[in-house]
Amino acid sequence: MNTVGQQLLNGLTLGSTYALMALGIAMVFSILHLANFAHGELLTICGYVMLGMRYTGAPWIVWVVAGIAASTVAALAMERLAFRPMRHANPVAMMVASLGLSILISYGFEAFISPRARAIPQPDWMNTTLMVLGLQIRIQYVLIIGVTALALLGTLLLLRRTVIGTAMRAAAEDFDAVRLMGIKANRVIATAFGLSGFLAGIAAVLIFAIRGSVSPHMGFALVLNGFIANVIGGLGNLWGAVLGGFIVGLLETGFRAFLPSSASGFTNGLLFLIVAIILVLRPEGLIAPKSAARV
Amino acid sequence: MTRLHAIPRRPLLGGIVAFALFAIAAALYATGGLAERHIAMVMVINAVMVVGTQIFVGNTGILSFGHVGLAAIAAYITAILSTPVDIKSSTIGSAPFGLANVQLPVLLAILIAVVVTTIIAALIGLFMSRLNGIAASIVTFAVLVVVNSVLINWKDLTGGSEAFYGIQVKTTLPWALAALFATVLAARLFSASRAGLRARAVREDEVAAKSMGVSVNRSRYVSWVLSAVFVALGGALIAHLLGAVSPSEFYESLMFLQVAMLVLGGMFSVTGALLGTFIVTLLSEVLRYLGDGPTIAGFKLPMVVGLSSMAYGAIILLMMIWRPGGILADKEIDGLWDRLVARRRKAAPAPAGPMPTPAVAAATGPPPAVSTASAPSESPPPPSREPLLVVDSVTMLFAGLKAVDDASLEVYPGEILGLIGPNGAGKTTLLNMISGLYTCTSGSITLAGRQIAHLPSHEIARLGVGRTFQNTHLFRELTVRENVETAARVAQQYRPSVYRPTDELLAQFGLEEVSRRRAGTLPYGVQRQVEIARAVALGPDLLLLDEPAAGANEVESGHLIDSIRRIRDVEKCAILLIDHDLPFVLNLCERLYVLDAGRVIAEGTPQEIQDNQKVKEAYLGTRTSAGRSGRAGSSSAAELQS
Repeated sequence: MNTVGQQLLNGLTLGSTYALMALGIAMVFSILHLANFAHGELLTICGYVMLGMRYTGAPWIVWVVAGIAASTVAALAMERLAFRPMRHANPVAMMVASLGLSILISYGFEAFISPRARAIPQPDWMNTTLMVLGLQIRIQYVLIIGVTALALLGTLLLLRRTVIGTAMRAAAEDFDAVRLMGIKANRVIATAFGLSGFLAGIAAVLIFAIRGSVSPHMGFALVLNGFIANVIGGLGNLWGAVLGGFIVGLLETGFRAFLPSSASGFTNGLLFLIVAIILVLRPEGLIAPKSAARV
Repeated sequence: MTRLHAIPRRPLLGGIVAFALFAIAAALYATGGLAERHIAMVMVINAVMVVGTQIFVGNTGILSFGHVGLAAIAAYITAILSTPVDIKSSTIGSAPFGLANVQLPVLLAILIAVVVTTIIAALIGLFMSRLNGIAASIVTFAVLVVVNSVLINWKDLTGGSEAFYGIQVKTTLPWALAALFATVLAARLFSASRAGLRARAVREDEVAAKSMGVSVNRSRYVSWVLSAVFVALGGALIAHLLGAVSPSEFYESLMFLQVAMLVLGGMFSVTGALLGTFIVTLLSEVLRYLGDGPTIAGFKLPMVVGLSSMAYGAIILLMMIWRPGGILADKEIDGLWDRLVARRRKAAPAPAGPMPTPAVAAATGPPPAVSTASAPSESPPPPSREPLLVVDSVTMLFAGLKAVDDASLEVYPGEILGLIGPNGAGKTTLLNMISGLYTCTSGSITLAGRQIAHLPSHEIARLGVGRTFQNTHLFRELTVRENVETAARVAQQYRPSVYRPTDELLAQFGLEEVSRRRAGTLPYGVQRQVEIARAVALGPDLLLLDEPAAGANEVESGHLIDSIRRIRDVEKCAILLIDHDLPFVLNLCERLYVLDAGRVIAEGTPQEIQDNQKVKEAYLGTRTSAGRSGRAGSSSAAELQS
């Protein structure tokens, strides 16, 4: 029973990071229909900036702020330099462009920093363990789940309570309508990217807290999990993506914990098999899009 | 059942020429020495895989990242089956199914590899073909990751993450070229075939394709499985060229490389796939030279690992920003030739043919099939006949909103029936339910006695329901001929008794002149005409027209009346149409239904409707409240009274 509880907690922690990542991906997708491969690189950018800050001797919290700021700025730069010039291209071309961007950045890190993983040390207090109800609860887990909850809540408030948030939700339904309302399309899109980068930065900080290191190509595997979370939840559905993120995190943790060690390598395979089954049952994702296709 | 069509000459010739150019380039490069020969062979096999991938990507418009995974499966299968037993005993001695003690001839091993890989792809395709565009791409990405993880972890069978060595090196340049020849021809012929045409129609407009009787899932599935055959062949050949394979070799780097090859030349074109493969190979040789830190003009450049991959990334990114369709977009070599010839002709003074005016042509030119153009019959059909379509108290809810509320109507064979009502009355929604794009929340719809309310759209179309759309839904990047042919070939397969050749239909609608133009480039009026021709190509018993007169002036709508009557007389079909142009509807239709706020409020002849008090109110609004449908409604009401 305790192992189940423990693994549930682990899964929730991992799922939190995926949820944040998936939410960022969904935010951009819902507005631009862009499946942004380079979202994974937003995480590694955060990691390498944290790594750089390590050598300045600044305290950990400064690394975190700098890392998240870097992800946000990088996302805005991607939008401005790569995706704005091709705004009217079809979604496949934009996805291909984002793949190109992702390759460029990740191999750039490989070529000019190091092909190997580099350690991002965590402050010691993170690994302090509390015992609650027989569960080992590391401060780290509390931090991750708490920060995720705050970030999700913040996003929700932004979308519901601010003008730009309302415009973003409207843009996801019908982009032209937003233009007619007199809100600049560029601002809506830039905000979506900025927010997506900000969430990626938070997710990155939490992921590095778990893994303790950054490597050039880790974004590639991470972004796939983010995408899969989106597909499960229904592509472009923000809260579906969050749900999908938690499902992927829980499944991954569950397989790692309960599969015999000889089969643990098949975690990915099994994960996607379950995703496949979900999709066969519900091709539109768990939370189907609100409006039927307009004809 | 399936009739063997004559093999179309253009794609055949175009394929041969494109292949020949590529083969000459490869052969020339191969004369440079041993290293060059190897590079040329790798390029040719890459081309097999890229063109194989193009069969799926080009026709469905869904980008795949998973084909490299399929190639990996084939490479490992042939490696495991054909490698000598003594080598295997030291690498995968404990392989399951006694595979460690098997050694098959290379050709047989390749054949089995292709067959098994295709079967695996067919299984994956079962669920993948249910997904749309980007979601499908993401799942192909997952295929790549899963294959890689299985190859690494099924150590007994594959030897794990280390290289599987000792594979017999048998691939030669002629064999590789022969495989490429087959692949290129298959790709070109498939694209021009009925199945390829259907896949491309879905690529262009899923809704329209469904409504023309094309099964979206099936068309994707066929493309996917066929493309797997050739990608598997490429994977098997590369294993027998390199002599060793490893999971990392068939992972993201190769995927990036092949995506670059595919999108650079233009992923909708077979010629483009070949061109992209050639350019990227050339570039990667240059980059390899630069990445090794060469000495240029006395300066020793530093060695940069990952430079070539960075360059692929940059190339992909810049190409998508500059030209999202790639160099050739969807043009094939034969299309380029056509343009060249056309340009020559333009340079010489040539009599420019006038643009056809199809609306008039269709109205005035007698259809060649039926010389006895009967006078339009004004009389409504005798009521004793069985109705063709019965819509029985259907309701459609959208998130609690009743778009259609307990509506019933009947359509009799051969009648022209109008459906009118203010904006938002639910007219188009009703049409969408009849053609199966929406499934009604409750109620029943029967066509010739058969319940169709829960049938998918493409099956309803195959039963003889054709339609047009309020905002034209053409297959924009396909030619006018292909637009019409998509539907005609559905008729040929499912409604052979009413099938008519595409040429005949193009002639009937005055579209011969524009038959090779892309539908999306035509003026609006011609586009609408193409859409009607396409719907008629189904040989429908029931034709649904959603605002056919939208955007037409008085003269044009007059012609349209004749044109629609003629369609009814020639096709012997019933026509159910929606329009806001009341004089048009009152003139054309023999019977009308009036819809307001989702309910049928009146039914009758045009005269009865004009006199109906409820209809006047619906259009005018009551005296106390402003007209509910605003200005448009009021002006329509004025017309109604005139």
